[in-house]
Amino acid sequence: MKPAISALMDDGAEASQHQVALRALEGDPEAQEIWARYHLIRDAMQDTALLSEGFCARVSSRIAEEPTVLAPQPAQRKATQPKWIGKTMLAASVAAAGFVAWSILASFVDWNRAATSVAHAPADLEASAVAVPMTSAVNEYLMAHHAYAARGGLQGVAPYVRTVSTNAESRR
Amino acid sequence: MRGLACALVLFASCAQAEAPMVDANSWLKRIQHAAQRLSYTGTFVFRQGERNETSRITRIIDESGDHEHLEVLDGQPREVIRHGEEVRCYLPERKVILVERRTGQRSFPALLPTHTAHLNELYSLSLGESARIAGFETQSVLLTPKDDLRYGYKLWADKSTGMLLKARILNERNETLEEFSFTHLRIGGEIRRELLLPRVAMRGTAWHVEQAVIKQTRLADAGWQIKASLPGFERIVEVKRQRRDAAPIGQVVFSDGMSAVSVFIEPTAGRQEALRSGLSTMGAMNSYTRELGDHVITVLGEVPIANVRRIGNAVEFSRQP
Repeated sequence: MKPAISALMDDGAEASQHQVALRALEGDPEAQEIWARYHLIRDAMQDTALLSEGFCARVSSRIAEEPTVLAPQPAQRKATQPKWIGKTMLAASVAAAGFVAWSILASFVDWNRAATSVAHAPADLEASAVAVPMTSAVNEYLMAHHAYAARGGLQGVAPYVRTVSTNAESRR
Repeated sequence: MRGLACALVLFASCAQAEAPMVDANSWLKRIQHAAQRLSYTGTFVFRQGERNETSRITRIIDESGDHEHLEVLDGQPREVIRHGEEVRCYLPERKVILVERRTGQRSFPALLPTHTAHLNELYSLSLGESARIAGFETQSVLLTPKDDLRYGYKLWADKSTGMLLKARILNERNETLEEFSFTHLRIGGEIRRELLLPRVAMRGTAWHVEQAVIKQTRLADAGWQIKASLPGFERIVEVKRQRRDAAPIGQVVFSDGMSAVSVFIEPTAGRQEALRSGLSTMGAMNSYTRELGDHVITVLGEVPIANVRRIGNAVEFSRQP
């Protein structure tokens, strides 16, 4: 069992071997224990900051509470993720937190700063799903829009009153 | 006897249809006509949620063309002056004058829906109550959308000239999102041309003029597609706008005659101020921003939030063969 788990961690075995290891990790407490220990060893060797106890469970429950992500996340954030994370963290998820939760998280969290990034994650998700007040960054677009947006009878300059006042913004 | 009654009923309904200004559609035509030919000066209040702003507006149409001046009187001062196709926005706080000359497949005022007939297909039109607004006797007209792609409107027009005195944009729960309402208005007569001049003090500090160069374009030629089905909305303009050395921004405007929505496509690298991804809202204006490759897509307009998101997600880019 140990070589299969080790191989799975390092992505060094055949697919059939992976199946064996994954099945064991699903139901066998001993296999899960080995899995956790191997990771602890590797984390120590790679000087990775340890996550606090129950971290995975907390992340899973937080994700379950989040609104659905409606907008795609910026592509370049993925680039900040070290290469090895993709493989090992996906595998770890099967045992610990559930595949879906981790792959969502892995797509936007810089894993080296996982503990702090998770604290900011809900705000990121919310920004994509819930409408927030407009900021003055859109003012130029608003003006460009009003230049062409003819309205029933109010098609003159009146709609230009709709810009974001920076006074209003600072009051918020 | 019954035949006679039927004939009378038929006659009565025909007579009603022919009588001037009895149906909502004629009122809309009249409002549009008034907006194109009347000169006026007045004060209106713009309400948007808790925001409540008073503005002064003057419009003069003469042999030299069509001129307008809008001055926001509350809070941060802002002025907009339009001479024909040229629009100047004065932003005293930043000492900036944004200048742009509208261009397009259809220029103003031909940009207006010249026939209101198709509005019947998109909105249920009906007449509302009569009301007295800013000293004018008005007739109200209701436009209730037949689908969820647009908002509803309630318009109040002066009974004698057709001038729009008040306009309201309503959501699907019939709640007011925005309202424009004149508190004082003078139509026609002698309107002093000084009212068209900017009121901000132009002396002293140097003002910075930012001129936008606007050119017609076809974004499809650059690989951009908007694959959304937008029943009732027509693509009215497609331009490329550029300020000084900034990156050019693509803009496509769709309009159904009442509501309009713009799609902006801008290179991410060109932006000084980052746009927040996701949905944002301000009264009846909704916007949706997302990144697509190295571009930022922003859909903005006075249409429901689900519609801006739908359009935003339908923007695609494909490399040219």
